[in-house]
Amino acid sequence: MDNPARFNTEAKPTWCPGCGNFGIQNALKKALRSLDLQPHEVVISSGIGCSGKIPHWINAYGFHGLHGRALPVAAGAKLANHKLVTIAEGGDGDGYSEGMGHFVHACRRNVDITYLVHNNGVYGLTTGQVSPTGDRGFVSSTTPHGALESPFHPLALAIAAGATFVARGFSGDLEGLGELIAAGVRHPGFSFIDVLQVCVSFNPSKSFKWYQERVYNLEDEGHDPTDRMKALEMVFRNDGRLPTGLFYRGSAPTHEEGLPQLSAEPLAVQDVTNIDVTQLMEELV
Amino acid sequence: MITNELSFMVGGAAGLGIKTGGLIFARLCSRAGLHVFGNVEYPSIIRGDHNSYQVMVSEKRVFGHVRALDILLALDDLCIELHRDEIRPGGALIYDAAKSKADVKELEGRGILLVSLPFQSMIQEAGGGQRLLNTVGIGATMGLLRFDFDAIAATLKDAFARHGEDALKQNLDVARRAYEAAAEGFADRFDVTLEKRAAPRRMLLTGNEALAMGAVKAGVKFYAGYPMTPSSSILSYMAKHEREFGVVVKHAEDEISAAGMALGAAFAGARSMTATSGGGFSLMCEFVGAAGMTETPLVVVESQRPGPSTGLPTRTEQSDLKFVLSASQGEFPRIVIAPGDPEESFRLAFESFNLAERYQTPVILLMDKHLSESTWTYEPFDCQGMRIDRGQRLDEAALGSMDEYKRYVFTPSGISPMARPGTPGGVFVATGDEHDEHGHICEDESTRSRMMEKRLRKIDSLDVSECGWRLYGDREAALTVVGWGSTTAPIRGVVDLLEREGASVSFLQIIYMNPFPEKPVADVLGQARRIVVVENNATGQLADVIRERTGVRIEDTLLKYSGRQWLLDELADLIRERLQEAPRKPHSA
Repeated sequence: MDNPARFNTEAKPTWCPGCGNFGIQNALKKALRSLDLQPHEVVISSGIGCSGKIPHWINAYGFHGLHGRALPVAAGAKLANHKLVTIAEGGDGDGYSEGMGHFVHACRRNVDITYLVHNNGVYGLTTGQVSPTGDRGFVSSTTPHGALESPFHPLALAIAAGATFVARGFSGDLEGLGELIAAGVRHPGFSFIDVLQVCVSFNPSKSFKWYQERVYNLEDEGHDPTDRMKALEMVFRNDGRLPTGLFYRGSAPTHEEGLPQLSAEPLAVQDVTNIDVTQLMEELV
Repeated sequence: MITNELSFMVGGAAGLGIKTGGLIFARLCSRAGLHVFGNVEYPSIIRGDHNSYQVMVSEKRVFGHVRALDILLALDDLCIELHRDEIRPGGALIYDAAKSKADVKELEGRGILLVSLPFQSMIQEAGGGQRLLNTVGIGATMGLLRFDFDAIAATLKDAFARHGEDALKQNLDVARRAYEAAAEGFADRFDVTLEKRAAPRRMLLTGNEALAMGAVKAGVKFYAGYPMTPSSSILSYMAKHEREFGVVVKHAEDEISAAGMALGAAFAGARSMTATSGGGFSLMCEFVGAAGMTETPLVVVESQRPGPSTGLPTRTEQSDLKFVLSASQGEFPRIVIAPGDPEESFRLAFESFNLAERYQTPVILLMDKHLSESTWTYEPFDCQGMRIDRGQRLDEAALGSMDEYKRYVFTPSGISPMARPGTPGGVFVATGDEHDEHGHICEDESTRSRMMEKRLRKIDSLDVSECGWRLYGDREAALTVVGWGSTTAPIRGVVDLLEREGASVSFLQIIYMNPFPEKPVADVLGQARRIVVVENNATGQLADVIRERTGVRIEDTLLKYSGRQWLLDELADLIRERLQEAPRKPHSA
């Protein structure tokens, strides 16, 4: 049962050599193993883009759906079977552009999902256009004169929208990211982890080395993740470095706690063969 | 003297409780053993302008409404202005002369009985506010009709009990005052009465209520939606009943999310549904295609309203047929069903879940505002013989006995057995990309072609040659009327009427739009002596679909696209004109 390779697949990823997705994939597998989970207990819902392909290369139930829409599918799957450990995966173009609306509402809805956003500042699969986290002035095929938009702050937005687990990881930090993901899965309710990720093909100036020189762990600086204002301060700290780790952990009732319908066995396994609607008809007489 | 045949309308500004008043009146009649049809008309605003609720009452089943009114209950002057010409000679206008500035002399000249009652002073005497206005009006109407007051009191108690004792007392008080004033002062000059009849207990319900009940009966466990007229009442109905039936009901942030959540829940193995109107369905399209590609069972309700764009948000139209038949990019099997009345809405909603799971593909139920929001009387539906079919599913034992589980394995039927996420041994990936039998992305030419063929042949085994259509009347009739969806009821009403007049006319209703009952429809139309298609749209979309699917080209169309349903008398006149002309064979392409 405790086969350490149980989340591995035979198929090999088609990501570019050196892609940050390998680190995220390995960290996720590591986290799932550390939680003593079996493949059939996990569902991974993803969007479209390089990040969206991850369910194909982790041995678990997967739904590789639509661009930007990993979160609604994940929420539906989780509510239909609240015993499933549900992971949603998006990219920065996918989750922060097309799927921005779902992100904000997932934060306030607080369904017990762990949401990883593979954030590399560019669209990879469509070959390198600027994303919502790309720098102002970023030159790409769609912004040949430089992007005029400013990058937004996913962590600040998540905190403002009511998320109770807000973290940032780095694809090059297998240990740290694996622990963050495991902590996110254990956290009751919606957990959000923005993952800084290298794109060797389309954002080479932010290389592995570039990140490594800048990332540090908030814990090492004694950050108190229960302090929401302090968390926001850390998001906006502008000292050229990139803090990673848990920015904010709060507590709020999970969506599932408000649904007595989920106190019995999961909806998905309930018997529906003989539902009596006589009473509904009587109400209309 | 006419007993139990009535066309009644209550009208006034939005916010005056027009719909509530109309529904109370309809329920009173239904509980008196009479058949009722109620049509609500309202603009897309909350206060002001004009709302109306028309109730047709009969001892026989009622199929629709007519232009002529026996009674107009006008709660303001705009109502009098808009509907005065609809009151028939000998009919009555119930209004408050003390408040009205309308010139009603001309009405008296046409033999219309002016029932002026001091609504405002009655309300003041009862110690209430304008919320009582509709009750005063209903009390007056029932007095004029000499209906049994005790029955009125019983229904008012049901309607207002939840508003507290004071509100109930005031409602009963004003109803009685108005009832007595109308009965004593005017009833002897009015020629219609309402009387109780012994009849089976009947429900008074809308198409949406019937559809939602059918979904509950089918075991819907997850429902996500976003408010959009005329689908919103499905969302609120489901939400109201979610706890008693153990359904999770979600008001999502938008229709895309609603469809995505519903699809996620269906993927996880729960019976799942979403509902919207054309605008919301436009947003859902991509997920409908994803359901097709991932072979996930999903039920989507599209209750049409007039487009394009926001169109007429609270009116009716059947203009999304061709859109729904081809919505979302690419080619995938879809089942599209158009119920014609509340009973069909109930039964076909139930059946939709079986079909979605049996064929692992999206099922779209096409409704429209008229069917979704009008009210009809029905005896409680007989649920005998309604059986659940969860499709081909593999449990842990079955999966354990397999060497290898392939979610999208090629089969002769195209249907591949499903594993429910959470089941050991069934791990698979569903993807909107083209994929191999395991569900992994695959761009290989031969796999692509075989997967397309596999998906598309799944619904070949769905035989709609019997359930996909209905013929009312004789194949050899002089005229065959063809229609679908909510126009079914008025067409049936007109065909009934004309047959009683001795005319030779039949009605072909199309129920399954995809798969389409090609052969039987081609047969009926091939034998028909003359054909006319009746639709609630501007371009004759059903006629186009029939031409595409059967080769039969129908030239004669009766199309209404004013945002209102066909009136029985309006449609009867147009059909009569055709019956008077010589028979004409349809052209075949």
